[in-house]
Amino acid sequence: MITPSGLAETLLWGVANGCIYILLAAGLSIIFGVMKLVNFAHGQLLMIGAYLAFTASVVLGLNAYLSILVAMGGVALIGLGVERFTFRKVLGTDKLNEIFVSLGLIYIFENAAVLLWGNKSAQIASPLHGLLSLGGISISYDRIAAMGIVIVILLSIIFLMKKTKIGLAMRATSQKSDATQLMGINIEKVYIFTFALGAALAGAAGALYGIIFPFSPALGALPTIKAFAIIILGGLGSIPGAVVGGLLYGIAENTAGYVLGGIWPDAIAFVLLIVVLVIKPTGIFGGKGD
Amino acid sequence: MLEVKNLSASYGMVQILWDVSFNIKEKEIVSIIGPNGAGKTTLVKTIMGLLPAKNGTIQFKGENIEKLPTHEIVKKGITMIPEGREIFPKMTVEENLQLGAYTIKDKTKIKDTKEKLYQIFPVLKKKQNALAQNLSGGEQQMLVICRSLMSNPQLLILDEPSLGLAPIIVEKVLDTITKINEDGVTILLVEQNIRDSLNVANRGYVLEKGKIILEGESRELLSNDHIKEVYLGL
Ligand SMILES: Nc1ncnc2c1ncn2[C@@H]1O[C@H](COP(=O)(O)OP(=O)(O)O)[C@@H](O)[C@H]1O
Ligand SMILES: [Mg+2]
Repeated sequence: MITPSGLAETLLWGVANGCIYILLAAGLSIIFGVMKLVNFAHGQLLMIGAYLAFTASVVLGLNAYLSILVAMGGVALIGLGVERFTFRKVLGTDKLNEIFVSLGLIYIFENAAVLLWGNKSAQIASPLHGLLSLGGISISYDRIAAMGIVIVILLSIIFLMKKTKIGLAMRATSQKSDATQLMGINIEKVYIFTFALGAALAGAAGALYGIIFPFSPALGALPTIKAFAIIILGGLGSIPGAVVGGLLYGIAENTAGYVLGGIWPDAIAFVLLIVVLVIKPTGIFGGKGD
Repeated sequence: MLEVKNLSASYGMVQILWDVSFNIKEKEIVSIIGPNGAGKTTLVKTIMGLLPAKNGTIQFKGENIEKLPTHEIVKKGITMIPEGREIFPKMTVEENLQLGAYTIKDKTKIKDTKEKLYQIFPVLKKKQNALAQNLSGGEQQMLVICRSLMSNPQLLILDEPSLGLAPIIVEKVLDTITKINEDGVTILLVEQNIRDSLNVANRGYVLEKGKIILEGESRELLSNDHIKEVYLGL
C-alpha cells in the first residue's frame, strides 16, 4: 500500500542514501574534473573504506563514527600509492590505458579484501540505535548522522576549493593544465593530492555505507555504476552537480523500491543513466571545471 | 641572460625545430619573428619545459634549464604568456592574479604588486570579481600581462600577444611591454606582426621552417631585402 506518509518517509530515507552516494560521486567527479581520469575502481575504494572502518571499530574497538576518519586516512594513503605507481605512468597517454589500469585495480582490491577480511558479509556496529519519529514519519538515527557528516565534509571541500592555495591550483588544473604549469604550479603534486582527496571521499562513503548496510568484498561494483550515473546526471566534474545528482538518485532509488519493489532500486541507476544520456548528455549542470 | 644553443624539438616523429641558437642579454627586448607554422610556439614551449628538448641546451643566467620541469623554470624567474592568452575563464580576475603569484610566499608583496597593477589598469580593479571569461579581448590581454607580472619575473616571454586584437589595443599592449622593460624586465617577444614587434625590440631573429635564417638589430632587419620582400610587401 502506498500512503502519503509512507511516500514522505521513502523520500527522506532516499535523501539519506543519496548523501552517501554524493560523497562517492563527488570524489569521482573531482578526480575526473582535475585529472581527466576515469577511475572504474572508485567503488572498490569505497569497499576498502568500509572494511578499514570495520577493522578499526570491531577489531580495535573505536567508535564507529570515529572509524570514518580511519577509513578516510587509510583510503587516501592507498590513493597516493595508486596514483604514484599506476595512473601517473599512463596519465595523458591513451584513454584505454587508464581504463585497463582501473580494471586491473578492481581485481587487486577485491582479491586483497577477500584475503584480508574473508568473503562473508560484515557490518559496522553503530553506537546509535532506533528511530526518530516525527508526525508519522520515522528515520534511523544512523541516517540522520550520515546526513550531518556528509554536509560537514561537503562544506570542508567547498572551503578547500574556494579558499586554499591547493584548491585554487586544482581548479586551475581542471580548466587549463599547461597554463597552470606556467603559473609555477607543480601539476604532479596537484594530481596526487586530487586523487588522494577523491579516494578519501570514497573511504568516508564506504564507512557510512558499512554503518548502515551489510557489505562484502563484492560491494564496489554497483556503487561505481551509481556514482557514474550521478556525475553524468549532475554534469561531469561539477561538485554541485554531484550533490544534486546524488540526492535525485537516492530519492529515485528508494522510491523505486517502495513503489515497484524487487530489483528496481538497483536497476534505476541504469535507467537514469540512459535517460540522461538521451535527453541531456552534458548533465543538469552541463560544462565542467567549477 | 638566456642562451639557447643548437636546440631541436619534435612532436612525436615530426621534427619541428632544427639547431636553433639565439641569446638574450639582460634588459633587452628581443623579438623572434616568423610566419605561421614556423615553429615559434614550439620554441617557447620547449624553453618553458612544456615540450622536451630533443637536443641542445638552454641556459638561464648560466644555469642549464632544459631538463627542468615547467614549474621549476618559472621559479627561476621566467614567465610566459602563452599564445591565445590562456586566461582561466571560470575564475575571477582576482583569482587569475592570485594564480600568477602562486610561487610567491610573501603575502604583503603579493598585495603590493597587485595594487600597483590595479593602479595601472583600473578596469581590472573594477572587474576584480568578474569571471575572466566575461572580459573583452583587450581586457583579457591586460589580465594575462598582469598575471605574468605577479611573480616578479626577470624574463617575460610573450607568444603573439597581438593576435586577434584591434590595432589600437595592439598599440597599448606594445606600449605596456616597453614600460615593463623599462622597469627592468627582460623581454622575449614572439610575433608574426613584424613591423610592430621590430619597432619595440632591440634585436630580432627570423625563424622559418624551424630554423633561424636571419638575425640582427631591429633597424638592420627592417631594411633587409628578404624581410622587405617576404614580410613587409615592399
Ligand atoms: N601539438 C602538436 N602536435 C603536432 N604538430 C604540431 C603541434 N603543434 C604544432 N605542430 C606543428 O608544428 C609546426 C610549428 O607550429 P608552431 O610552433 O605552432 O608554429 P608558429 O607558432 O610559428 O605558428 C606546425 O607545422 C604545426 O602544424
Ligand atoms: Mg604560434
